[in-house]
Amino acid sequence: MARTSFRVEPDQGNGLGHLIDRERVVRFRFDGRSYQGYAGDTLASALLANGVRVFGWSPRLQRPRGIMGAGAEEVDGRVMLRVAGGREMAVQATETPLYEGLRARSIRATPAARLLAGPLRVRLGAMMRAGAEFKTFKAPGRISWDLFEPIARRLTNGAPAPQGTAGGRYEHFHLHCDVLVAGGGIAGICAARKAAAGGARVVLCEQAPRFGGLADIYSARIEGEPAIAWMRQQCAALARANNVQLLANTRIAGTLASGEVAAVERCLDPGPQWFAATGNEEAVRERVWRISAKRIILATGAVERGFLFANNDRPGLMMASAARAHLYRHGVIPGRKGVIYTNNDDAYRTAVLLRQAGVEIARIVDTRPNPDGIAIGHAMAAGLHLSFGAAVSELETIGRGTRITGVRIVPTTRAAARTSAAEPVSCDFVCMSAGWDPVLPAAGATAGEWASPQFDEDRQIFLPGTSGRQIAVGAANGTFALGDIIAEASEAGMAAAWESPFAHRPPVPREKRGGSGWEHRFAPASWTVYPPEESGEADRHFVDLRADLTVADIKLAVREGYWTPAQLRRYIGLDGATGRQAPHNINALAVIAAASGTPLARLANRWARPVTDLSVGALAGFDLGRLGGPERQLPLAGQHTQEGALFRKYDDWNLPHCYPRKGETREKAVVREAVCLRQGVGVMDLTARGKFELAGPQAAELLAGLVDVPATRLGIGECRLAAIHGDHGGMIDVAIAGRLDASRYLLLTAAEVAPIMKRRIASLVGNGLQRWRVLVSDESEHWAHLALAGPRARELLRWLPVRTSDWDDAGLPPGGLAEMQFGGHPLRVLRIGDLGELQYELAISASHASSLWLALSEAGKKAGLMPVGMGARDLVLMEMGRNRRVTGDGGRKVVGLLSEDPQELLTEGARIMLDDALGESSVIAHVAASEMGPNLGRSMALAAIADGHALIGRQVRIASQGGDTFAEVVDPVFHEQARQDQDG
Amino acid sequence: MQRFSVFTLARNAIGSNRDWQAHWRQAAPKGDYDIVIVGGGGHGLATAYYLARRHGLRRVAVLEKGAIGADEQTPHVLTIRPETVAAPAGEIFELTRSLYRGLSRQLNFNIQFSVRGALRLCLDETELGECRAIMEIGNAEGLKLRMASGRKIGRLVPGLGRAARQSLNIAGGLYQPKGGLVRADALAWAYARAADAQGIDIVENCEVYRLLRRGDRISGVETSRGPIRARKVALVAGEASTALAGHAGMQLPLETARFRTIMSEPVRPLLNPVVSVPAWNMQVYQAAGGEILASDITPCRDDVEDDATAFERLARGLVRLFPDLASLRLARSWSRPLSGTYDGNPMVGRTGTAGLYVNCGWGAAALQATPASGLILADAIAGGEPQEAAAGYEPGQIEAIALPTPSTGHLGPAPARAGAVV
Repeated sequence: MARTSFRVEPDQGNGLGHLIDRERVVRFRFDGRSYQGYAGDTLASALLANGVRVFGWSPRLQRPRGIMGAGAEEVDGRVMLRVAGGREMAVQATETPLYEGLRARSIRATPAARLLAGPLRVRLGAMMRAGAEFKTFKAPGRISWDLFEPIARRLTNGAPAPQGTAGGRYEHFHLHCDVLVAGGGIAGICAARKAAAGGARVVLCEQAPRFGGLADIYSARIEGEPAIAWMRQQCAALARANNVQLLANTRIAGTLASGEVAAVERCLDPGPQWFAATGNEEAVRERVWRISAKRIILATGAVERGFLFANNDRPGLMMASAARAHLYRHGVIPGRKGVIYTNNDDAYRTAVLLRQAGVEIARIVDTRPNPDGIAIGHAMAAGLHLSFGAAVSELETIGRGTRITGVRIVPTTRAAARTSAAEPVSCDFVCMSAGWDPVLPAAGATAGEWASPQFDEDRQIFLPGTSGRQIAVGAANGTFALGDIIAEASEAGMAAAWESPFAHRPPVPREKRGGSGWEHRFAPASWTVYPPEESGEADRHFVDLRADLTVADIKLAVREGYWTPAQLRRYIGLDGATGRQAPHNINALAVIAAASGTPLARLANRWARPVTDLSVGALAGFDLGRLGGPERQLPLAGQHTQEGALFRKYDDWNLPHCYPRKGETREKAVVREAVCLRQGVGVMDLTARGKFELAGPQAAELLAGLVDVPATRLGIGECRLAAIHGDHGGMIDVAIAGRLDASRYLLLTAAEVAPIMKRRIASLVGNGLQRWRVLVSDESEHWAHLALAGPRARELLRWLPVRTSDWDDAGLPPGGLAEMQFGGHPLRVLRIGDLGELQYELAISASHASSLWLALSEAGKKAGLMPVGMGARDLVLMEMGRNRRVTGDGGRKVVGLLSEDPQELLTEGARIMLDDALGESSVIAHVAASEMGPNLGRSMALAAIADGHALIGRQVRIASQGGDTFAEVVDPVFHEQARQDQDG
Repeated sequence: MQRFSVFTLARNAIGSNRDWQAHWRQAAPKGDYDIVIVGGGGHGLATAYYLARRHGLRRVAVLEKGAIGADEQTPHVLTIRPETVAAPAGEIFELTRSLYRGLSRQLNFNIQFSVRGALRLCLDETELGECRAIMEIGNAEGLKLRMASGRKIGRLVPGLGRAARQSLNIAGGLYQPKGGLVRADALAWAYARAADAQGIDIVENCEVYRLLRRGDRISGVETSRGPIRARKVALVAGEASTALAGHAGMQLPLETARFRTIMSEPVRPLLNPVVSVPAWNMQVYQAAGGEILASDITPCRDDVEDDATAFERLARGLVRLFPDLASLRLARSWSRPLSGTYDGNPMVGRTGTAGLYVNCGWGAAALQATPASGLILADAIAGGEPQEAAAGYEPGQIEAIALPTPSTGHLGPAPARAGAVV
């Protein structure tokens, strides 16, 4: 048998195969066998042309599956595309262009799993009905879920995860326009054309690589031209226009909370370039467009709906429009002898076309009892055999369901069904068409704008909701006649350009018939199962192909009490996968509606849910190198590096942890620096602080609302420590509040508290409840802060080239704030700190910080100055009883713990046990932080204990995995204690 | 209740699955109950079940606005996180863990308790120190935690080979072999079915508008399906509890944070343990169906991080951990509001208004404490006071039930105002 036997020969003028280039043969491999196709084929069309019908196996029941669609609307049809080196990824065969040397394989379970699952499923099929896993494997012992779950996970036949595809670039772009047109079919192009002519900036998105939608599968004429030629002219004109941006390969993913529309552009086709992008940060794989549009026109078209009948998942069954698309575009026929099953006129086009291409049409089965119109006439003229008022009840196959041998046809009316038996008709493929469903855009993760489809009772379809900003046109709005589509879309385009708000869903005084005389209405009930009396079981009537669910599965689940789509999704996995067409799975909704007695219209809103139809990489964005906020560097980072600093990440900031000298360990360096803070003088870079200036008549009032300081008692040129409380009480941290002059205050916070403070200021000042007469400026970026701490700090300051009277208590007392000049630049000096030492904080504009640093190092040579990192600061702070891991609250107070053996370090996390009078012990808390105190010469630990202050002086038992030991509860300010002991 | 077993499955398979009954009746509300539980989530249904099971109270109704187990939320919960053991309400989580073990059998419904192991990754020394402290606390409670070296991490998560560990700066990890997942929706269904079998009415499609009072007592609720009288009303409605309590003149000191999750389409088994990276506020696991889910560890307030930013963070974290997954398609995302108290301690029990009980303020822990929370509230409603383990319970599962002291029990009509200094 010739390999390309399902390709029709080129014929003059019929235009079949207009996308393929028959001169260029392309060789490819699928499942280990080599095939040939033509340039311009998709992987799906090339396989169909070679007679391949089975594309893969279903996940749960391991049934063979083919493809039913021709483009992005295909729900199944995924294969693994591979390149050398074991690298592979799952792709949609209908969207993968064929290229020379393509290698692909079908997705199937492991041989062992197939051996196990295949026969087992057949035997136990009725037992392992969807949802059965909830009813068994309940015991915690031997035959348990623990044991079964891993097996069940392996048996499922999902696609393997992509391999060897790391890297590549995922970009985010912003785009502003007046009119966004989603969908580049006839309706979209008409709307874009009129909007652009009206002067609007237009963006036109089309998810396929080519504009034109389904125009090429209708032999219509527009403005006197054949549809395809007309579309090409229009696209070229739009591409030339300055105010139109065309985005092909771009799909609307949803709306964001900001109102922007997220559209994802596929920049590389799945194939060699795609794999080559691995590890190449320059190669753009996908681009997310965030489009701000004043008006949105949805011209997303419609997708064809299927029927429910036994074995309606077999390879060889196809949508009528898809069969036509494959024939027109790639010259591929679905088989030699077919049956067309329809409830509308559109499928007749497929029948007539296939007949013209030399395919035998065994029967057209139409559920309508007495259809009339042009379509019927055409079919009769072509000599086709028609059955009206009939339905397909079953598809018959051989070879384990891989090849269709025929269908059984039954009458739709009950009376006729009783008298006549099912009629077998032999064929090797079936095309079906149960009407068209508008494509409802995926609702965004947050916005409800698109989330409420309207149910059209008359035609039994869901239509997208319309708002003032957006309108649906063409097939997306349920308008199927060509003339109406053009008129409606053009009108919407013009209205959008004029910025007039869209009328709330125009009353539909449309013609019932298009200009061509084809009937565009269809008999709606596509979900009726024939013959009705046998529909009780219906366990081979597939509703959700991705999840392998049948009518029987849904009916059973509904009977068990799971009557909402949301519950069914969870209970049996209905619409478990991405399923881009899932929102249109009206058959599933109808089965639920019928089984639960809920009106179909009511289920629509329950179906709507946030869909995120993009790749993980596209959502993550291009900058995969870092997580959570930018990494912030100090203005003096260069100087710190010169000093030999070892940096560590503290939230966003990269801060010096310590400055190890040659041959010195990190730990030793931290201890040396900590000792220096108490005995000599150290300089710390505190630039990471949050710094706010509050100015205005109400600055004091605002300050009092932010931190715990009686602002009125804060004199000019004074500063003090002030507690910051959490939103619900409890101290978070300590800030520094200072007063520069009568109405200017300064607020300094730790780096990690700065965002909290910023938010709090915004909520106080920005809530509009009160008009604050205060100006708040966040000066965090403007000032560099250097802190000098240690007994010799004042000595060092005296060497500093600053014109000031003196640094004594009289000149700058504790809690003093002075503004002076350093090298002609303002310098603020605050005599304050929380380390329990003589401490000054010097603030200078960030751009002049290096000169101050230089001056300090110069002066420091005489005073023995050392740079001190955050490690030492944390240790010295802990000597003061503070550690970020220990926080007290209303009930629990922070206390210190001193082990009996001064050199013994208590284990962090160890239980603190208190023995009561009866000799019973209870756990009262856990050791939260434990360190060696460099200036204490012994270990120290902190814990938060309920009523901890009452325990001071008591002995407690510290129980850890390493054994028990004893400790004394003390005041947490170890340093104070040590100093008193020294003095005493 | 129709028993579920391999035998009933087999019998039904022969009988074309015709004999399966509804898992719970579609009960119409009666006019009068002893106890009405507002909210048919896991907590509310567990409360109802334990009221019947432990205290023999059967004139009870659970009122649910929509359908049972249909919430838009992450479908899984982690059974226990080691760090919660150290929290003041740690006993509750410990109790939950002990309850989960026999729950599928007790409720005759597979809640898909799946022991996968949980791995917490540390990106620097400080986190390693924190993990050592958590290990110390957890092991004292019998959690069998251990520190995981780089090689061990590589063995547990094949995607995290040496190169990946180096590029991510993974300093080590904390491994909890007994950590695992439970299906949250299955838990709700299991409790609903078991409570229904005990004669409790589970009323779906019944939204509670406000509380009815007679004098200073709660006398019932006003619902979309008419007024329902009750001697005791328990508010277990999560977010909605705040508004309902507000009608009764009580302000619950709660703030709402959002818990975000992204879910991929299903792929073959790839990841066994639950991997969490506290530095990125992210945990990743693969569901039984093959979907890969990345979610927050700690819920975050909307004004601190909005949904879009959080989803991006989760996606970025996923790609950093497993770069190959960048081309995996996402199927779904959730942002679920969770209300919590500022100190993280839940409020369970009696309030200042006679006849009114609350169970709220769990924050993220709501997903982890369902059985114990229901049990404690049931005890509080039935006895007025929390009780020791009562008769009628399978022995050996609970040693002692202690209510956490802070924030529990009595709530005055005017609790501390936000912003007050404690």
